[in-house]
Amino acid sequence: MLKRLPCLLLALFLISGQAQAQRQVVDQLNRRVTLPDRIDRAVVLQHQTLNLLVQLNAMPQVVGVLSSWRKQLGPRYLRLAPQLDKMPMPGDLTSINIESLLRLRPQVVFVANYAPPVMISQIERTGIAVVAVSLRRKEASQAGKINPHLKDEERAYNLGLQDGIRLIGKVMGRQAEAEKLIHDTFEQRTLVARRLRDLPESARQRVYIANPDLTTYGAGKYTGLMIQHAGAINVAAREITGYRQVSIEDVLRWNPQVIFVQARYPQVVEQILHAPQWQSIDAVKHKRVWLMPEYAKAWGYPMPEAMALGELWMASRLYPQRFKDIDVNQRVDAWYHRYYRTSWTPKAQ
Amino acid sequence: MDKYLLQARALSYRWPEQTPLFQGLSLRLKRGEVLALLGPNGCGKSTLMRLLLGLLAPQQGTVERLAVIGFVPQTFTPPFDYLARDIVLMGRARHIGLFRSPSYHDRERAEEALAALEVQDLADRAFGSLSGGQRQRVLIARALACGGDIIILDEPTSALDLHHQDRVLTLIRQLAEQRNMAVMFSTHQPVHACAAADSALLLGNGGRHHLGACEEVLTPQRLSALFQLPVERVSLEAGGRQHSTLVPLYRCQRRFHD
Amino acid sequence: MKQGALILILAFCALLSLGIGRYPVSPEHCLLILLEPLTGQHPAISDPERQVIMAVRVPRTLLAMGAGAALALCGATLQGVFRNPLVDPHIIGVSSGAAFGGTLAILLSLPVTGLLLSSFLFGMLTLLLIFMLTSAIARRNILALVLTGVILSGFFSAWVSLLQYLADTEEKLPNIIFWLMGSFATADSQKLWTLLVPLMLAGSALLALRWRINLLSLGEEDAATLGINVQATRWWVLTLCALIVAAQVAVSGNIGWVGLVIPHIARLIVGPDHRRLLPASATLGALYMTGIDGLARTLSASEIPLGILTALIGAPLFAILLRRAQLRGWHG
Repeated sequence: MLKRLPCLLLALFLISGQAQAQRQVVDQLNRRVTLPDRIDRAVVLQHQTLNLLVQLNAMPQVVGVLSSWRKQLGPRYLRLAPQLDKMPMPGDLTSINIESLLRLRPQVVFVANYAPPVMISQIERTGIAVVAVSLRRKEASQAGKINPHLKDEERAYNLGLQDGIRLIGKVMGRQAEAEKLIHDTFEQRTLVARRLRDLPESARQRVYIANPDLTTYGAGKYTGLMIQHAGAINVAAREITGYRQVSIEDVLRWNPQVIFVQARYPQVVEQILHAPQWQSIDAVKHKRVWLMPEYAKAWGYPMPEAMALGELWMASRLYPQRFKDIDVNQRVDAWYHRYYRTSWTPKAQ
Repeated sequence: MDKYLLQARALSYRWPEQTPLFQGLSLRLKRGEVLALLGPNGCGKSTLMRLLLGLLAPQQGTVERLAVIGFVPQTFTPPFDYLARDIVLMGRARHIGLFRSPSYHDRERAEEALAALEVQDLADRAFGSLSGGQRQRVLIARALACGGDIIILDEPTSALDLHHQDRVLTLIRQLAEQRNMAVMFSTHQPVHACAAADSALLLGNGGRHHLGACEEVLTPQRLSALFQLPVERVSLEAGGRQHSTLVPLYRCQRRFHD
Repeated sequence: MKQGALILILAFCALLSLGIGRYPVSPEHCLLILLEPLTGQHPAISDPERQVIMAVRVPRTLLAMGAGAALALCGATLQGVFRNPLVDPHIIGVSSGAAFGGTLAILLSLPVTGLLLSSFLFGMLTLLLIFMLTSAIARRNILALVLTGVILSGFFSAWVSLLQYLADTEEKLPNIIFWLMGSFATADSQKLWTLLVPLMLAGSALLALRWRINLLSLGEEDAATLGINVQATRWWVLTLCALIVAAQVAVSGNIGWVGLVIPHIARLIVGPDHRRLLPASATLGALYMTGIDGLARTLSASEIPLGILTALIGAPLFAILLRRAQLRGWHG
């Protein structure tokens, strides 16, 4: 029986491959993927893609999601996509229960670019198309590698996000929504850039991102770009890269003027404001320890709402006089109505 | 002509930075002969046995083995509870190839050894559940199963009661007389040596040793000096026979009151 | 007798495990699919059903059986060689070395073949280091071997931790952790061959050596007086175990407790004689792992890592076994 297994697999692969050859797309690992013409059963195993699908109003076509969505997007995300509550969860970012997946009869599975190669090939062997999303544009040879030497990080993320949104829109038949989302995102960004254009280097605020247990984000990834776009300097970026634990002595030495805390760690704000060893820091002395709203996602990958709204929020907190005429909450509310089909309720934060 | 099965020539051995255990020790063991090995604790009895068994390489001198040696250790605790039969079967090890298990022939030889020691009824019992005397006999059966003509026993009587001491000593004589094997055993009891052995090797302090007939080697004077305790030879008549035995006069002996 | 019964039970459970999973396939269809290589394609069977059985469950069940047999066989063997019933296959440090190799491969984004090769090669490199270190410490001493195992285990575990620390928290770390905890979820023919070839070769050699394990378990001097070359035999056994353990870690990560607990259960059933214990342990290990894998893929819609299940079930099971052993005396 075992001897016949490879032949059998090959036969299955050929049969299932031919049955639905309708159109081809190139995913963000530069793989050519054959897809059925219309997708109405998709499984999403990456939280960024899930968030994009919600904003593209494609959730009616989704039949399964990653099991850690609650952890990755926060429990409050359920408000934006109530369908998630009862959604089957056949796998996660790096693993899959292939039988649970088959049972959902999906036509396409969205995975992260860092999903294990065995997992991707295992899904494909059963005849289901796999689309990998990286949200970064890079040279073909570097696709799927860690810490790629991005020549121009800014460009890689901007184009990567555009590519990603277009790819997802094309796969799901939501091209119009995708173009609108891309347009809106970069329009808001241009506004922030215009307002901060004449900001002198010396006037830039020194910012520290505080996570629990003295962890922070250094240089690299989108978090750094977000702070840069908001006209600030990440104090940790000069010495560390990526997500790392630092010592309180480092923070005292850096003496940030502002401390940002992500929406998911509200307790950190209280800890910092009351811990004796933090009291001499400039940001704590002036009570400039701020909890970021949920749309300001300081993730490794940029999200449209973080680029469009998060950077605007951050810039308007840091330099209020330059954004006097802009009502951030109103713009956020408009975005939420357009893309999440619900209202933004800052009081609930 | 007598055939020597085990021969050691001019053996010397010393542990690093200590006085030698023995120097220039030569011995020969022939078929049908029983040799008793005596000496104070730490005088090198175990070391000598390990040299003869080939577990240690001699520092000086040579050991010549003309037959397979079966060895009966003083203490033996297997980590798992093997059956007595399996323990005896392990004696066949040197006759079984690396990637093989015991054959029918090997199992037959193990049964023979069990029968020779009259322990067939213990064969299916766990070794750990046996009494000291039963274990001693199972281990002797294992040494027999080795199929050699030499047998070396390390203090075979030390943990046994008088009855079992007698049985083991009788067995030792039988191995030499009936099976025509060469036997060597160590003991702390000069009496046991005189009862079962033809000759004795007495290891002393500072590398001296004496080898010869029991009566010549195990004299009261020599034993008294070596063990720092008066030892007397006593003759007595019992059951119509004249017996001669060595008696240690322990210093703490309680006085008899009339 | 008992061995035959165990094999029958294993065959039955393996068939049973082909019939369970998240994708519904009826037992009749399952049997029909299994018979298809002989009978030709049956019209009532759908393509997905065929895929689920032949491309998912068959390799997966075989891999689980192989890994379970590998761990339990090595566990029973090494408990004998080290004369200690508390030993498990991790003691020689090979699994830590293999885990390091696999972690490194994930960090460097090597393809599947690279991951399998890297963990296997680092497992064997560990064995080489054991050879060198033990002869540097003390050539003839089993304690030296244990200490070398402890040293190398600690050393490679530290390297695994370092790689985890260096790994990208978002992209690489979850991959490394999931791989280290062990899974049969991605079983395919490549992984199957990677495990089965070393297991069949080294496993049958170990089974041929099984009576020698009895002798080695007596201890160095005693085994030597019985006329066997203790050093050579021991290295044979260690090399064979290392081959099997390295292959097992390469295909299914670090799975604890199986190699420790299963030999104890096998000893309760067939006794301590390694001639019966080794085959019984291998069979029971395969049986146990088939069961664990059945739980791993059916308890929740996602996969549960094996390492978690084997420890959750193995630890209390071991406590019960120890209690039994205490009641009967350590040698009972």
